[in-house]
Parts: sequence; structure tokens; C-alpha cells
Amino acid sequence: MDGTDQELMRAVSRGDPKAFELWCTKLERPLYGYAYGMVRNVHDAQDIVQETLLRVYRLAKERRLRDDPGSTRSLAFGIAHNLAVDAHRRRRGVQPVSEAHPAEAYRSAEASLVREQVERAVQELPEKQRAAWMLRSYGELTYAEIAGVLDISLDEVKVGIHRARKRLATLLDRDGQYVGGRSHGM
Amino acid sequence: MGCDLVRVSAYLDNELSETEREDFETHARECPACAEELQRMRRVIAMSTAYAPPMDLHARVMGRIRQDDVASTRTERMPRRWRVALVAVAASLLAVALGYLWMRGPQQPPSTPMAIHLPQNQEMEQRELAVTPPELAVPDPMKVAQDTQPLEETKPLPFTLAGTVAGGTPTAVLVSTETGKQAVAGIGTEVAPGVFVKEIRQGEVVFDNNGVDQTLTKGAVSTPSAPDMSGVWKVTVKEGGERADEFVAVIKVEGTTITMKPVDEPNAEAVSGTLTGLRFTMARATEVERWDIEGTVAPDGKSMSADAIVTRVDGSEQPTQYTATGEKMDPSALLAAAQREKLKAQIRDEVQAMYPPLKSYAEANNSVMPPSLAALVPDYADEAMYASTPERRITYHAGLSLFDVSLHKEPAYSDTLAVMSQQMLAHEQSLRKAYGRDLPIAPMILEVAYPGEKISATLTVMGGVRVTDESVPSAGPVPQAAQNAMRASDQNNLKQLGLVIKMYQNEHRFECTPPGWLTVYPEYLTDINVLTSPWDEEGTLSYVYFFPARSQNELLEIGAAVSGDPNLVGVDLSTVEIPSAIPKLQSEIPMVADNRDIPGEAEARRNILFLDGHVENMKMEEWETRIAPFIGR
Repeated sequence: MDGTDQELMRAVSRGDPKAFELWCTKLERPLYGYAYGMVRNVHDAQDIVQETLLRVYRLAKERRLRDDPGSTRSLAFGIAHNLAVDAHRRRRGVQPVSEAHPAEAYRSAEASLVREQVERAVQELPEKQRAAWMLRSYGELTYAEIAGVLDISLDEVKVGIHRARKRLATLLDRDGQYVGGRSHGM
Repeated sequence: MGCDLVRVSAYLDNELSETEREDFETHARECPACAEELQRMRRVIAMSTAYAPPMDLHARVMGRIRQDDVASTRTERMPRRWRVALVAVAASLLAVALGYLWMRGPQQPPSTPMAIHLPQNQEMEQRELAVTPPELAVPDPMKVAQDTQPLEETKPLPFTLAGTVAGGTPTAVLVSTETGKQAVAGIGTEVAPGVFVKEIRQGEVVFDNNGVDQTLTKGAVSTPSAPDMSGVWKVTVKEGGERADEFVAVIKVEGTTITMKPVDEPNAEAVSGTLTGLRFTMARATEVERWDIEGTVAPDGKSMSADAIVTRVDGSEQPTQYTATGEKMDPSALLAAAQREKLKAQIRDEVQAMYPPLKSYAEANNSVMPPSLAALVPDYADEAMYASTPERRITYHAGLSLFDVSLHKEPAYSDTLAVMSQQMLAHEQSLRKAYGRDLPIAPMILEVAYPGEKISATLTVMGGVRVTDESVPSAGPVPQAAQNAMRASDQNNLKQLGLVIKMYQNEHRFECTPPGWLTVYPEYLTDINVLTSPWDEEGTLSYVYFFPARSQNELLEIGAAVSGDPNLVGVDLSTVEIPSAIPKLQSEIPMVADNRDIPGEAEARRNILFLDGHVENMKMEEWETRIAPFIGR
């Protein structure tokens, strides 16, 4: 959290549209990564990002944001998390939740395969662990911010993320991705 | 063995405190289990990368936000009676001039200026100013000052006398008119700056008020004399703490009568009332509503504050309460600003006059603008029209067409020119209509700088003129963080334009770059604001686009020619494999650049987008060697 972030956040909390746009460019990627990870549907993920940033913008315009970058990030991810949970619930039973992300041309086939396997493995994680892991890996949040978003304790975050990673390692090993010896897993 | 494997993840996520981290690092060096776990977790982390968002996500988000902004502005309640629309102070200078005349009253019959129609918008206003003879455009503010009452020499006493106590040491009890507090004073006490108690009699005190004797009698309220409120005021209105309106009004005081009139509503009935001491009340009733204003003016007559209550006559709505603050404007500053506006209007006309010859040339030459300004002489214009002089410096951007499309030289392409240019025009018109203002889409063909006046003007291919006043000082130095943010946002704009160019190239014949921004909006360029850098005002085209409608191959040929590399010159780069040369060339060919130096930097710098999509913050010293060779090709 450097001075630039602070300064930017101050401008955002004053409702400065240019500053807000700049802040959006920083947040769109992690927000989308997280939203997509949660709903696994490109359109829903885009909608979630749009709606989240719009809501934060309205709060900024009403001067209801604090100028602390961390808390605003938590707030945004909190909104996105709730929207994702809602979208997930709506989609259930309507159609298969999983939809392949459009291929990214610049990625090698191998990298795409790894990602697919990670995706699949992540789906097998318990819900809380999965959310904490995604907020960390895709959303790039700190543990404290994750605790804020999911409303759990810092220790739960710490343990949750570690367990998620361990389980992923095991699942990936099972799928033939070399992660490391199994002797210490699980 | 003291292993806490959970620490591994926290360590990798940088979530351990300094001591915890040191502890862990020491431990992990000796503990094979932790070291292995560390390796494992590192690999898992490397594998967990997020999906990148679709390229247009940012544009979509900002589009949605802007839509919301537009919707909320429409529904925002504006105070109806203070004024209908917000008025920019600078935009109402002619009106201010008219206001002065109104204030000076009928003893000066307003002849010519009153005949000028009230301008409908800023552009018209500037034109009107330009045609108005200077002595009529703005009345001499000094004359205005003579018409108004001089301030009284002696300042009123800020207290009343509650009583006197006779005796060996006579004392007086004074009550402050501002705070209501009592104070006891003896002879010689300084009760206010420069005000001393001189004599105390029964029920009466004589003060030495800055050398003038002044008597205060018990019970008598020392009425402060009315300060001079007459003049031009900038009034800011707030509703519930939020700024609701701002306007310029002329206030006139005659005796105890006070009249106020917003300058841009010369035909509206003035609001009038009375001024007693420092307090004033004003009222105005229309058929539907009534407004009551109550306020005080500062003793120096230079600022005021007021409350206004607006009541619907039919009682259909709750009364609305506004607060207003006002500041008296400095007449000499107003005059200087008006003269500046007039100069800018003259420059606008001068640059506007440079358009018709260019247009005629293009119309006669397949819509393409002349290769140089010299080509216009003598058939379309005389030499003087575009001559650079010490007073003005003209820069011309060759190679543009009348319709922002200098289409590819390919015959099949230029056949469609007529059709396309009609479509472009229609497209531009519909956009202008939808936005309600000029769009920063049309590229500029001419830049005219007036160094002595610190004014520059640009002329676009569509004939629009934009005048920029460079003398307007920024509000103090920009904080470093904001400067960094602005620079980053400018670079982000350029990167997005790079994406637009790439997307267009990928989908068009001969891998052409877009002919202009108009062509790619809104299909590829979804957010028009990307064309404006953070330090320019909305609607400005802040970037120069060097190579519209050029094929990838042509660009590489230009690059090869400029590079002077004997291995590349004259080689058909599309057929010959020179794997290392092509990426290198791409990173050297400039595509889009800031059209002026980044403000607030210690040395002149601009951001430049290159063909490969990278953006560089470049010193202007390098412009001559790295960018200039490409321009004009």
C-alpha cells in the first residue's frame, strides 16, 4: 500500500471520476479473476465486475467510502462475493455451471491444460476454503482483507488457504501434474 | 520438531511478521519437511493463475458507470429559482459587461451593447465579443467604481453600552454585538483595535476611535454603517451542504434599497429588498413560488452569506432551504479576463479562416488534404494566410483526408471513398447529436501556437477549432502522487488505443491501421474518453495519430527506411523471413503520441505508443532522432 494508492483512494473517496477509473483499471483484473473462478461463466463474471464497480462508484459519489485502499478493496470483493454467490445460486439447476473460458490464444496448450486441471480441482474444495483461496490467488487480497470479505477470523483464513493449497497439490498430483512427493501431503 | 506447515503458505503470501519470517527461514533451512512443503506450495501457486478478463471489460465497466452518471444527473433536483442552469463564470463575461451597464443605471443610456442579443452559448458569446467594439465590450471598471458610494471613514463600534459606574475609577460595561459578552473597561482601555476609552460620563462613553472621537450612549445601538455592496458578485448556492448552483450577479445598493440580478438573465425582474447595517433581506414572488432571502455582508463589503427559503405558493411542496455565499469580484480581474476572452475569440476566427482553403483543396483532390501548406498557394490562398511569423507558429499535419479517412492506396479501396465519406459524415453527425457536444474524434490538421500570448489553437479536419489558454495557471504544483497517477492513466489510454489499432488491423484487409478514430468508434474504440489525457479538459483529442490507414507492411517499410539498416532497405518484409528484425522494427515505429508535453514534469516529456503496443515515457530531446524521421512519410 504505497503513497500513490493512498492518494488515489483519497481522490476516489472524494468522488473524482478520473481517479475512480484509474482505480478500476487496477481492480478489474483481480475482480474478474475471482468472479470467474466463483461462477465459471464469462457473462456472469463480467456482469458481476460491472455491478460491483458501479455500486462502489455510487458509494464514492455519496462520499461513503473511506480513503483506506485496503478497506475499499475488501468492500469491492465483498460485493462481488455476494453477487457471485447469488449468481451461482440462480444458475444452479438451470444449466451446467461450468462453461469453458474462451481459449487464450497466447497460452500454450500445456498451460491451458494445467489451468483446466486446477479449475477442476478447485471445484472439489470445501466452499469456505475455495473462496479464501480464490480471493488470495485470483483476487490478490491480503489475509486481513480476505477475513473482512468472508467474515471469518485471520487464523481461519491462514489455515483455509493452506489446506486448500495442500489439497490442490494432492489433486494435481493425482491428475498427473507433478507437484511434489505425496509423502507429506494430506 | 516444531513444524507448523500452515506457516509455509503465510510465508509465501508475505503474511508473516518480520520476526516470524526470520524464525521460519531459519527453521526451514534445517527442516526438510518444511523445505519440501515450501517447494510444493510454490509450484501450486505458480499453477494457480487467474483467467484474464475480456479486453473490453474496462470499456464496459466505464460505460455502465457513465450511463449511471447521466441518469442520475437527469434526476438530480436543481434549484429552480436561483437559476436554471449552471453558469461558468468565464462564460458570462459579456453578460457581466451588460450587467455593469445595468448597474450604472439610466444616467448612461445603454445604446449599442444593449442591442446585442444575449448569447445562447459560449461559442456565440465569444463571437459576439469579437465583433463588439472594445470600448463597448466592457465598460471601464474605474468609472463604475466612481458611481458607487465611498466607504465611511470611521468604523462602527462592535459593542453597545450597558451602563457606567461613577466613582474614583469610573468604569463602563460594554456588550459585544457579535458575541453578547460583557466586558468592563476603564479610561485608557483599548476595547478594539485602535479604539480607546477616553472619557466616562453618566450613561455615556467617549472613545478615541483611531483618532476620531466617537460617543456611545447607554442603550443606543451603534449601527454599523452599510458597507459598499455594489458590484459584481460570484454567488455559490448550496442545498443541504451540496453545491447546487453558481452564478454571477450584479448587486446595486441605493440608500437602504438593495437589488440583485443574475447577469445572464437580463430580462428577469431583479430581486430587491433592504440593507440595514450588515443585514439584508430580499424577497421575490412569482406566480408559483416565493423566495425569501436573509443574509449578512462582511464589514469590508467583499463577502456575504445568506439563507434562502423557497415556498410554493400553492403549498404543494415543503419549503426548500438553500444557503448561499458570495464573493465580490475584482473589476480589474474581470476586465483582464474579458480582454483575454476577446483575444481568444480573435484567434479562433483567425484559425477558423484557415479552414475553407484546405477544404476546397481536398474537395478538388479526392478528399485528401494538401501534402504541404505551400500547395495551397496561389490557387486556394495567398501566402500570408499560413505563414509562420514570430507571433504565431503553424504546424501542419499532412496526409489526412477531409473525412478522417485517408484510405489505402489500393484501387478497390479508393473506389468506395465517396460512399464511405458520406457514411462517415452521417456517423459523425449522429454521434455529435447523441453526445450533445463535439467529440474528440476528428484529427487535427493544423496547430497554431501564439507563444507571446501563451495561447494555442488547433483546427480539425472537420473544421472545428479549439483554443487552449496556456496561461491559466494550474492550482499550485500537482502533488507527486497525483502526477504519477495522471501519467499512468495517460499511458493506459495509449495502451488501449494500441489495442484498438491491433484489433482493427487483425480484422481488416491488408492489415490496415484504422483510418481514424471516427471509423473505429464505437465498434473497437468503445470508450471515447480514452482519447483525452487526464490533464486535458473533456472532449479534447489529446493524441497525435501518426499513421492512419497504413498497412502493416507499409509501416514496416517505413521503419526499415528510417532505420537505414542495409539488410532491410528495399526488402519486401512480408515475404522475407527476418525473424529478429521485425519485432525490433515494430518496437521503433511510433503510432500515437501525446500532442503536448506532459504538464508538471521537470523536463519536457511525452508518452508514445509504438507499433508493437508498448508505451514509452520519452524525453523530448529524443523526439528529433526517434520520432521526427517518421513524421510526414
